[in-house]
Amino acid sequence: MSGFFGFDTSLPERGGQRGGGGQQQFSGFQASNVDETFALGGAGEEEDLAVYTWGEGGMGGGGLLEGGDELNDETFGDDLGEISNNFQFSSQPAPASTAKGKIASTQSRYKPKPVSDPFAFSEDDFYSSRPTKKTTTAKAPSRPKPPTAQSGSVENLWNKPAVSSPAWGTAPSSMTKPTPPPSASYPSQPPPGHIKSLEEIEAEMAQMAIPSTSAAAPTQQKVLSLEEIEKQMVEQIEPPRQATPQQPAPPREATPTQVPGLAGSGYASQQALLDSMFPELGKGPSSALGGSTPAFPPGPRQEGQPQPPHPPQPSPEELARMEELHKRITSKIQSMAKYNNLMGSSDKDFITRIQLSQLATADPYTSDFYAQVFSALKRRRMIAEGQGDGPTVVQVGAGMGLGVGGPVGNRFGKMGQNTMTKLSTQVKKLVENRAQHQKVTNTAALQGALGRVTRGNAAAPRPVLAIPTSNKPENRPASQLNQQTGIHRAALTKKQVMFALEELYDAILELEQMRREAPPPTAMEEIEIWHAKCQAKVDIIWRRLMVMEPLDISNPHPFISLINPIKGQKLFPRLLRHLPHTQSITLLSLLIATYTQLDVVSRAPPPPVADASLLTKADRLDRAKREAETDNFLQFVIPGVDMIINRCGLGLVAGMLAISAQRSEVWRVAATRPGVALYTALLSKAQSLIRSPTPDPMNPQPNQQVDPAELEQWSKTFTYFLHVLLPHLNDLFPSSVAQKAAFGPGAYLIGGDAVSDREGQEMERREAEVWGFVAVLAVNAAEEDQTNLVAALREKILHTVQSSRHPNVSPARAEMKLRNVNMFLNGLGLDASMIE
Amino acid sequence: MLIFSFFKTLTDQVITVELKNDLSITGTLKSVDQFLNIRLDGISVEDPERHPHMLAVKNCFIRGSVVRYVRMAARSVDTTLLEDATRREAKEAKK
Amino acid sequence: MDDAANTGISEPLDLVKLSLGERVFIKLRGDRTVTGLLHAYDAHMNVVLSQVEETIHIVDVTEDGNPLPPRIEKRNLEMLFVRGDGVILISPTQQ
Repeated sequence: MSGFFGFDTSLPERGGQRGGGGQQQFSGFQASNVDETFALGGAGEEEDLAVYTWGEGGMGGGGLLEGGDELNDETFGDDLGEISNNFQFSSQPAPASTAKGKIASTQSRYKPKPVSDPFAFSEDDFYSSRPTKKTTTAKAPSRPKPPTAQSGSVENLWNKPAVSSPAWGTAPSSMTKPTPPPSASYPSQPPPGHIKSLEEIEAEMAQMAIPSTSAAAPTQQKVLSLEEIEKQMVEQIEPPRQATPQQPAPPREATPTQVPGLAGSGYASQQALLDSMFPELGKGPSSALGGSTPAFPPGPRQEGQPQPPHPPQPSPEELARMEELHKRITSKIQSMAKYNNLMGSSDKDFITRIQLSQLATADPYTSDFYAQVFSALKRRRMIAEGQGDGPTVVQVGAGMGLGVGGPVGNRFGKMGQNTMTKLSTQVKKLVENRAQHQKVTNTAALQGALGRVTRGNAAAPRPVLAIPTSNKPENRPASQLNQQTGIHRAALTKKQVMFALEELYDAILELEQMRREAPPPTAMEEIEIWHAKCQAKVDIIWRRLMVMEPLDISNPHPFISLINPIKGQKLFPRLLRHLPHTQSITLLSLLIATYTQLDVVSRAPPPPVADASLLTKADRLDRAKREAETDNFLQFVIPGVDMIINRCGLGLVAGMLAISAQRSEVWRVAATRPGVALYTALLSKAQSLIRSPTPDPMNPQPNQQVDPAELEQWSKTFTYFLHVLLPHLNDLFPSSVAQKAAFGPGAYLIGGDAVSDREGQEMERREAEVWGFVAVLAVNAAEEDQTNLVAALREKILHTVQSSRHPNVSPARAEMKLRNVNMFLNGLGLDASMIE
Repeated sequence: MLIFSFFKTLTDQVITVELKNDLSITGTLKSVDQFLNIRLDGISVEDPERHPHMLAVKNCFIRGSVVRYVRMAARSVDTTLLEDATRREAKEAKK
Repeated sequence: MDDAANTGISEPLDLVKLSLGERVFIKLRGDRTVTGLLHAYDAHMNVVLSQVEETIHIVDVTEDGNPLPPRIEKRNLEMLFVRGDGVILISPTQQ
């Protein structure tokens, strides 16, 4: 309650200063933005007084700081006991009829505001508001006329305390100024014993507010700001540095704060809030200095004001005691008066800045990183949208956080969908290209395989598969993969993985920060140092990735362990941005060599069932989790894989495919979505390299001409790959697998294509991925292999085409089916419409 | 300051604040401070029958300490960025 | 390498950091538990979670004061801030 100090200075001689002080303190609040003050102060008074009023106390409200408490004794002297009664309103509900008619007013001042704290009345377990609740209930019966109960308006709440003045001022004012001259403008004095009505109180307040603000507020500041300063100084370890920032958040470089587009954003409005939290500080000298002369309140009106509603009859002893008290107070104030004007407006500004700087620090990137970057990303997004489509909306790994905030749209995930569409457009382009090409050559042989076939007429002969002999590719492009034998250890534990990942994230964050802090291009030396530092960081990251660990050191390989959790998958694209080309090739080779160890491959989600209700709950959850992991893999890892592949030459691509064929059962890998995506990327890249040796305008490289040796190597590898795959081609399609795996009634549902349309379309989308894969197989295949391919897929093609014409299949789904089949057939120069 | 920073980005978004007394208030976040006190505009209460006294209230200031949850739309949060920010904060705290 | 998982962990919050981006289980005051993907935390144990499932264990009492068998209420929320003063423990989920 040290807040009562401030006002005393303004009324040194007055008997009624205590009451008047109460008023003035609150008028001080009134002068500021009422809404804000109410909000903050109101919440603060329920508990933790120091916390909330701290900000205001800096200048305006007289500061409820602990530091001032030792003065309480001096101020209130022996009277403390009695006075504390007045403060702890709940402890002694004085009867309304006693000499002190203060009850209604004082309690209204500290009772919880109905508006700000409505919850407190409803629930008992609302522990934080319990004390205040008790207060009100204890008080309620003794309230003669509860003016506050109905008061919802903010003004009322703050005005109320004015009524306390009569209570405080009672004895002294009657003593020192027995006959206050009632000014004409005054409302008539209420008769003794009468408790003022709400209207009267408000009327008085309205009159008082104007003079008291100008006189009281500044003096209050003077007294308290001193303590404030000391406190601040102690807290601020490095004051000079804090002093420098002129703005609360001085941005480095191009900080988001500076951009005008931020005006309406959270940061700006936060600043507004801060301003309103320190209203008087914000106004600076104008308000603070305006009334800085410790003038007496203008006119006698002020003193006359706190006329007691019903004059008490203080005993002589009491009067003497009061007198003594006032003397002490006066002397105290005089002794402190030498500190008046100790602080100039610049000092006060300084304090303001210190306070603000605690909220908004000098470096927005450290403590306000999220908000700063978030708004920067948002702005960038808005700019991109404003300019139309802009360059591809979501760039994989562009910028820092790849602003992909958003729920997963469907089971593919947002980015997963993007990746797959990107891959399938790649395939489509190849297919179209091929289709044109094929028109010239003969397709008669192929047509024979499919043409004029009707259901049940399986006339077309299947050629016997050529069994691959010994064309194992020996070219290993990434020779760094040292296959030492003998060393073997257990796979990383989950905790080890998590720890390693966090270390990687930390390193990546540091590296990203370093990259942002590039020195200006003119400073050659600094640039070199900077490059070296970045490179050192990259080396650390590279080591922590454990890519160079022997290939068979553990199962799964440490790197695979890192990339298995979703967290590791998310790291992947960010890693790639920093790795040099050779290292990313090495990394991709390792990934492909150990592809089967990936959770998303070895524990690929089982084929969908027609009726999820047949599954147990645990099974359903497990499926959902595995689907989510697969989506994430397609979303985060595959784009990076595709990016690396796109930088490879044909020899490398062939080598990658060879590694996969050598180290895994390709048909198992190809039966998973990540596998299909990987192979599609590899095969389409190879085909586009073979097809268009003309240099890419965007990326002109001298050695674009395909090396015949590489071409030879590729076709050998591919032929082997295809022949391993051929017998399993049908099993790659999710619908076929689902049908095989189906049991009970589900089998009929799937077989009859009678599943719900939504699920059906989902299934077709999945099928599209595989059709894209077989299409790219087709465009890569030599002519005789194309025949094999068609033969292997004949039933699947026919079934799909026929079911697209089935009356039960929705037009949308039928169209998808046809599009899927045509993606493949067009690659061979055929079309579904040719099939009867 | 991480969570404060986080809430700043939610200003002008509709959020639901669930208090420890089970009162849930939905409204537009107008401002937040370092104590995570929250100011909401245009509020509505989830269960008006249980809390009839809230019907007339159109905006409110919620003390941070009485909050149990704040629910928000997933699309208004950039989770990757938020995790990075958390890592930075954790590192800062260790220094 | 094997020791790597134990170096650098000096305080309990370091363990929470390992679960960033992963699904965690959080026990709260008032017989509540939540699981969700952890996106942010701070020293007060304030957390931000997504894909949240909240479970409330409720024990109803009959008129004569005898407790009925506990009943469980579940809720799913897409993005949730949990204030730290209600948090009892945070643990990675078993998977």
